[in-house]
Amino acid sequence: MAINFSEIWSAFDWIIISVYFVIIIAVGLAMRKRASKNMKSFFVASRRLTIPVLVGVGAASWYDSWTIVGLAECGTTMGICIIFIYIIPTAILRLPLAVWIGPLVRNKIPDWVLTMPDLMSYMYDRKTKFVMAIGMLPPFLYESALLTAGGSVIAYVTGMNMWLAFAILGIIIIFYTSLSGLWGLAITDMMQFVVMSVSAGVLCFGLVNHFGGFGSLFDQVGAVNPDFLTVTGGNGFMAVLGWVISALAMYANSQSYQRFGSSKSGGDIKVSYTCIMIFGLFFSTVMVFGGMAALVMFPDAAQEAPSEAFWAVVFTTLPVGLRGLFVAALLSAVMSTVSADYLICGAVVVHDIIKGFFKPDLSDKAEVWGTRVVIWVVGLLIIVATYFWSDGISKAYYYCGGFQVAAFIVPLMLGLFYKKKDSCCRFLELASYSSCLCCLGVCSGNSMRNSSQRSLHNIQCYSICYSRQAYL
Amino acid sequence: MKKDIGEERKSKLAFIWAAICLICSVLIWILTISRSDIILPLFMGTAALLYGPVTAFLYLREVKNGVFNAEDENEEESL
Repeated sequence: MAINFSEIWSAFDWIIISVYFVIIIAVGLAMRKRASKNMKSFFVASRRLTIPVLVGVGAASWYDSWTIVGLAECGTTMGICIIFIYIIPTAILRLPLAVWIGPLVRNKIPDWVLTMPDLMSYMYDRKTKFVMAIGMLPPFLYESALLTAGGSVIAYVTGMNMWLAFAILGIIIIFYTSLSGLWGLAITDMMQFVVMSVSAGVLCFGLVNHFGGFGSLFDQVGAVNPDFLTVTGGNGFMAVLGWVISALAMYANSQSYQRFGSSKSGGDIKVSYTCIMIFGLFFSTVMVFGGMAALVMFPDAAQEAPSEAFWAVVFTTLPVGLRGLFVAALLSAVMSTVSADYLICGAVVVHDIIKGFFKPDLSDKAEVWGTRVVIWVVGLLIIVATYFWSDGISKAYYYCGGFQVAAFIVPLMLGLFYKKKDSCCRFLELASYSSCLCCLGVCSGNSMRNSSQRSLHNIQCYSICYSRQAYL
Repeated sequence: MKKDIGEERKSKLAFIWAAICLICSVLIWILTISRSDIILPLFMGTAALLYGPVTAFLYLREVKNGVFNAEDENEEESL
């Protein structure tokens, strides 16, 4: 290990983390009653969220532990090119989602549309809703990668057993999500967003203080590998294309559509999501520089475990207390994203599949309770699934993000913009879907490092393909 | 409760923010490729440090204006 984290982890850092956890759980308990009214209240906060609230819930759910640890890993292993091939394209390519598609979805959908499968049902038919609902389930395995990143940090800094850390973090997330739904997340996400934002700023100034400006950092990284200071980083065209495509994943991201549905109006989405893009630019770029600092400060650790080297940088450059804040930021990023996805997963199972196809007379109360039960079951399964992702998060996003684009973006966009849902539309949808999947296969074929990741990829692909065949 | 700003004004605001996003992208590109020593970290660090607290301030104002009470009011109206 690059440094012994538990030795320099102070009592003050412990206090910060403990207070953070207590507040999160307290919010879950406090918002329980409000969220229990019906599914609309539990899942989309009664469609009442306004600009600042949306900025909090949107940013906290979009920027997860991948944005912190994953991008830092990329900074360590790829250099500044990740800013040019992923971070900047992400900010620019997602602008149409913010100013055009999000408001369109919010203004166009009727009140009964709560989830993405509901949206498909509205745009196509019930069979498409079923395909979408089934297809949405396997990508939730990505949550285990996020949980791994968060739990690993707790284990690093406390010296606790890693599996115990995964379990504790996972259960806290399940607890407050199942209790308070999106009403609770509207508060916890904002707190988590503030912690993430301040921590990124503090890390940036910590790096400046350590290196005396970024000039020295650039020079030392260039000495390790000159490619790390170029626009493409020595990557080929297909690899660059793969990164750009994965930047489009948010167009098919179920959290985005849930947040759009929870907004008060289309105008609120426009303003809040453009603000989120700007935040993402700064936040993500800081993490890349943190990863580059890891490369020069802890070169041996950076080669073996880039994420560990990144944490060594955090612990070396930040003073007591602020380390605790940064760990809280990582946990915030993990918790906000995982909680949002647990909520969506629960709604997909109970609202879309059980109520939609097997038990249409399910009452509002029963639906909310059923969703809570599913959140617990799925959450516990995700804790078990952390086993698959113990070797790093960056690859998880690379192909999970690409997979989302391949599977969902085409039917969603065609549904929104192609008026005639006839056989021509289905042909276009299938053709585009197949080409996206092929492109994804070529781009990510060599990126999956072990058999467990390949197995998860196969589970995802088969489930989508089978459900599509059943539909057609 | 305060009066909500209109959809047209929100659209204008959104386009201003979108333009700022593009300008920031270009700035970060230029400053990174030119290996900026001080301006880049100062720009990023200040923006990241202030973004959350400023949003939190606006959020608290929104809470004060009753964003979390809206549902209760709706229910009272329907009764």
